[in-house]
Order: sequence, then C-alpha cells, then structure tokens
Amino acid sequence: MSNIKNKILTPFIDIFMVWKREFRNVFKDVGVMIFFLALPTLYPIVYSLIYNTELAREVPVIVVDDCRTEGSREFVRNIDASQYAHVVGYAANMEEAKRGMHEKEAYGILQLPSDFTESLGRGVQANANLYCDMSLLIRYKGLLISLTNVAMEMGAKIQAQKIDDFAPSYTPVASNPIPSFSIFMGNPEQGFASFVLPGILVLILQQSLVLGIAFLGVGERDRRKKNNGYDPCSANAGIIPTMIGKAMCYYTIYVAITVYILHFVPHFFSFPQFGNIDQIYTFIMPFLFASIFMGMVFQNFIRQREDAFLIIVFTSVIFLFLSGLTWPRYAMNRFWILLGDIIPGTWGVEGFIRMNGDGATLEQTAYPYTMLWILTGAYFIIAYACYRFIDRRRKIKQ
Amino acid sequence: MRNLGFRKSITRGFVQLARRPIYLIAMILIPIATALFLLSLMEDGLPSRVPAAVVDLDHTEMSRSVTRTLDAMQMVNVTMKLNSYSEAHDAMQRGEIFGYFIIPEGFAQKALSARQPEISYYSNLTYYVPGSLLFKGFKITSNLASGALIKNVLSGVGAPEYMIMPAIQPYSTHVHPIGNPWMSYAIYLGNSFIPCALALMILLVTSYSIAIEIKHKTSRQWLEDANGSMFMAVIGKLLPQTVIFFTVGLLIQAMLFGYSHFPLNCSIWYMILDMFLLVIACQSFALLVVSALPNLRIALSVCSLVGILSFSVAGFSFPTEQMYSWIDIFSYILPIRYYFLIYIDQALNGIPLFFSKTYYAALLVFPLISTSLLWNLKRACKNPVYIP
Repeated sequence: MSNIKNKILTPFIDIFMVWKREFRNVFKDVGVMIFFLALPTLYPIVYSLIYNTELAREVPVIVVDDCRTEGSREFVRNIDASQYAHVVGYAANMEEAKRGMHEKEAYGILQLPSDFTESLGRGVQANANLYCDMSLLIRYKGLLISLTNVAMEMGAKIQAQKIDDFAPSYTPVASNPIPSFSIFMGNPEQGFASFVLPGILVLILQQSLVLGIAFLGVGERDRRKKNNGYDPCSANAGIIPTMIGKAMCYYTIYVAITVYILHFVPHFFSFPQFGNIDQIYTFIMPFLFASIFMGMVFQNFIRQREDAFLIIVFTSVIFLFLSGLTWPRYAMNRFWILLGDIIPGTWGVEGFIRMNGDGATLEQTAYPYTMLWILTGAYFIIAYACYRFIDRRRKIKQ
Repeated sequence: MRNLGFRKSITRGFVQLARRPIYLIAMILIPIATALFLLSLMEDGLPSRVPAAVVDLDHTEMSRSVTRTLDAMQMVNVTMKLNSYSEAHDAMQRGEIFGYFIIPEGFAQKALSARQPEISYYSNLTYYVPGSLLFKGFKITSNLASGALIKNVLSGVGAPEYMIMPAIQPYSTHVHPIGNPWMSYAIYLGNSFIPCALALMILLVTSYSIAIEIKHKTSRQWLEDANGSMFMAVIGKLLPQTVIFFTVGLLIQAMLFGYSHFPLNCSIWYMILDMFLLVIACQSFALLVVSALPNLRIALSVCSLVGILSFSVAGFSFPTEQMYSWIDIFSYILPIRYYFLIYIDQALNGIPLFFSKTYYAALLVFPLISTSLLWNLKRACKNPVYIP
C-alpha cells in the first residue's frame, strides 16, 4: 500500500525539491539575477521615459509667403496655432528656406504662391505647398495634419458663402453637410508610447526569461564538467520532474514580475489599460510557460554563459517585428508569418494588446491563447528531447 | 614594424575569430540575416489594404456608393460587411479588422434634405501603422461623400462646373515629401534599424573578444604577444574585426542602395565613409566600456543595454527633440545617431556635405578618445579575475 503511495507521491516530492533547489540556484547567481530582476525592473521604466512625451508636437516649419496679404497671414497664423506645427520664421524665398532646413532649424517649408488670396476672390482654388523632410514619418504626419486641418476649417467658411450664393436653402448645413466623427480605439491620445510600449513590455518578459534560463543552463553544465557529470546543486530528480520543478520556480518569480510590468508600469505612465487584469494574468500564464520551455531549448545551443549575449540579445529586434506590432502580420509573407507563429512573444503581444488596449475578453483572444498552450506543449517536448539526448550522452561517457 | 609585436598580435586576432564559430555567426551571419529579414518583411513599402469593416445601416444606392469609394481606397480593404456597431466592435477586438466605418440609418434621406446625417469611423491605433492608414482612408472617404453631396446640390441649382471644385475645396494642399515620396516604411526603417543591428553586434563582439581573454586568464599571454603594449594588443585584436565588420557594412549598404534602390542622393563615398566611421566608432565605444569595466559579463551587459536602447534613443522613429531633454542628451553619445543623421542629410536629402561636417567629426571623436582608459584595461589584463 505504502509502495503505491510512494510511487504516486515521489514525482510530486521531486518537483517540489527541484523547485526549492532552483530558487537557491537563481538567487545565488548574480548573472541570472541581472536578467530575472534588474532587466525587467529597469528596462520598462527606461523605455517609458524615452517615449513618454507621446507625440511630436510643434514640429518647426519655415514659411515662404509670396502673397503677403491678410488672407495668407491668417492661414499661417492658424498653422502656427495648431498643436502639431510651429512656425519658426519667414524666409524671403525658397533658397533661404531650404538653407534653414539644411541647418535643421525646421523640418518643413510652407509655401504660399503670390495669387493665394486673389484666387479665392476669383473663385478658383488657392494652393498651399508643403515641402516636408521625410527622415522621420512622425514629423511629416504632424505637419500634414496641421495643414489639412487648417485648409479644411478655413475652407468650410468660404464654402458656406459660395453655397449661399447658389442654393440658399442649403446654407445652414453647407459648411458641413455630412458631419463625421472619428474615434481612435485603444490609444485615444494617438501616442507613440501607448502604441509601442505594451508590445515591448511583453517581449521584455520573454527575453529576460530566455536569457536567464540560458545562463542557468550553462552554469549547470559547467558544474557537471567540473564534477565528473555530477551537479552538486541539482536535486537529482528525473528529467520531467526537473523540467516541471524548474518551470514552476521561474513561473513563481515571474508572477510578481508580470504584475509589475503589465499592471504597475502602464499605470505609472498612464498608458491605456482597458482590459480585465485577471483575464490578462490568465492569458499570460501559458505565455510565460511557453517562454520558459523555449528558454530550456535555447540553453542547449549555448556553450559559454556569455555567448547568450551574442546570440540572444539581437533576437529582441527580430521578435518585435515578427509580432506584427510595427509591420502588421497580414502584410507579411507566409514564411515570416510561420516563423512568428512559433515565437511565444508573437501571440503574447497580440493577445495582451487586444486585451489591454482594445478591452478584448479572454474569449475573444481564444486563438492566441490556444496557440500559447500549443507552443508550451511543443517546446516542452523539444526541451525534453534535448535533455534526454544530453543525459544519455553523459551516461555513456561515464 | 620592428619587433613591436604587430604581426604576432594581428595573427592572434585572426586566430581568435577563426577558432570559434560564434564570432563569424555574430559578425557576419546575424547582421546580414537581420538585413535580409527586415528588407524582405517590408518589401511592399507600406502595409496597404488594411482589413476593415463597413456597417451600412442605410442600404441605399448612396450608402452603397460610399462603401464602394471606401473599398476603392488603396489603403483600405473592406473584408466584412456587418449589421451593427457591436458586431464590428467584436470583430475588431478579435483582431479580424483594424477599424470600421458606420453609415447611419436614413443617411441618404437626411443628406438630401440637408439634415446632416453623421458618419462615424473607428480606427484601432494600438496598431499604429495600419490604424493610421485606415484613419486616413476613412477620413478621405467621408470628405468625398460630403463633397459629392455639395456637388450634387450645386449642379442641381445650375452652378457652372468650373465653380464647383473651388466651392467644395477652396484651399488645395500639395504635399511634397522630400526624398521618400512613396512614404515607404522599408526605406525609413531599413536605413536605421539595419545599421543599428550591425552597431549592436559590433559593440557586443568587441567587448566579448577582449573581456574573454580576462575570463579565460589568457590576457597575460595576449599582452606578451604584443611585447607588453596594450595599445598594440588592442590593435591586433580589433583590426581584423574592423575589416570584417566594414565588409559586412558595405554589403548591407549594397543591399540598401543597390539591390533595394533606396534613395542615394549623394556620392556613394560619403556613405561608405559614414559606414567606416560607424564601425570604428562602435569599436571605440565598446573599447571604452570594456576598459572602464574589465569584466566580461558587466561589459556585455552595458553594451547590450546601449545597443538595444539605441533603437529607441537614437530617434529613428520618435524625434529626440521631443524626448525629455536629459534623455535627448544620451542620444549624443551613440555612434549610430551620427551615422543616421549623416544618412538623412546625404543619402536621403542630398544636401551639401558642409552641413554634415559636425556629424562626421563627432564620429571621429570616438576613436580619438578610445585609448584614454587603456591603463585600466592593462591593469586588469595583468591580473585577470573572473567572477562567475
């Protein structure tokens, strides 16, 4: 009777022992602590500070006003008053204005032709030209919005007058016959930080886990090398209990880190938080496990601890793009979609953004959630195969 | 080179790189694979045809024509026609669409009787690029609907054709995007992120290849090979890497300006010089870090931090002048920042070289000050300690 009981209990005791041991291994190791604690604590703050100003406000622009009438000056005043543009000065001609751009005094030139005001009186269109530096699309966007808004607002008044001449019955609504309103979902401020940060936060979780686990793995291998295949810091359990025990240990640590990164950091910096936080934690669980087992696979390909820097750090950039945050997945070719599919970060980013930004429920993010559980299983099996292979080879050697 | 240990040092530098595959992976494979990845990912330039939904509650000829206008937009792809706001919102939350456009009930009737029917559109800006494109498409469509209506009214009362357009749109705006009229994201991100990935690998490999001598306690031998000259030892180690990184950099530029035909409005030599200076500036930066902190793991941690944050702080996508001023300052110690500014001035905008002189000079500062902390590196090399 007690024999059967033991058989059932042993794996659980093993898992618990591994879990306990691994805690000691993690907290003893300065390198691992950098990845598990320092990196996830500091990176989100640094990133948030970089982007926290959110918008490109008051983009400097130079004006070349060849018209010099009250009408053209009013147009320029309105541009200057808008949120996104700031008139830094007038230039006598285009050459002078270009020079100002070359000296980085401005990132755009607004040119109003000599017949600007006169055209309106004659009943033809008045042209406004904007020459824009394209080094950063966000500046271009700011100037473009200012120009379009001013042209439309000032145009509406003139439009109403014209219509009054021809169709007086229509005058009351002529300036805006079909009103429209636009809502920006998930990111009402249209901010840069609110867009890029949630994705980066999720990737920080994955990357710090993978780096830390790689470090731990090589550390263990080094200890075994020194001690003839025996690791004094391991709990000597079977492969599966060892994997589960370790995974539970990392997961326990990362529950606290997840709460900090996905709840408190967005809260400090007032990023959008429209999701149900409990559902987000439920969603993130398979994401953490998938990342952990992926880390256990990766650790077998690293020979020296510090090699992890050379091999893993740059993947953050690749994973960020694969997640579809900057370049949407529908516009990728099949190969990159497939590659993205096997990275936990892709689904983690997608699900978290939809829940956190768009207020989606766990039911609505069922697809990424399922994919994360599939990845958890797949990486578990691959990691198991790797460990078994290494274990066998070690035993043969002995 | 009389017996200064130059030949011995440089041979040692080459042998180190050849002995372990990780060097060639990190120096050649990773930067080139990253370049191929980003260029192939964004080969279309813009992610147009953003999936969107239309909720047409009016079902009239007029509302259907608005839907057709919307679908004809290059940036919009109407993949769903739904019957209610809540259906559309649900589809957006499920990630099937990036936004939706709602035509209200009684749209045509109200419009024709001057009762201002209200169009509403929702764009999901958690995905910035497709969300913004969609917003643009929605906005143009609603303006076109407004314009078409006024046109009808005016021609209905017999206004002459030539007066209609000026009445609908009195101010006509012409935007000239200099250098990148296609507004291509590939041009924009390719020229910043790919060199930045190279810069990251230069920082990592430089500090790794130096500090590993201290970890493996081979640093004394390394110094001896250079006849005890720290300077010569560093030159011997880094020069072979300069050659490889510069070659990889040229290959990347060939991919950007040659194969992908990205704008190159200056002499190619200006960009080649820019790349050369970037390589040695990054090596110098890492040499300073590893001299100040001669510990493999710490030096690599610092270089990773700097290399990864460069993608954000260097201001490729978000302008540095909009950041907090104390963060902005940080961008000025990054070599890649100057490479990028020179690229903008020269390759993208093609302005006279004169205006970029300070950026070239700034890149030269890095190698000039790189040897200032060699004494500390030498101290560590003579007495290597590795803290695991």
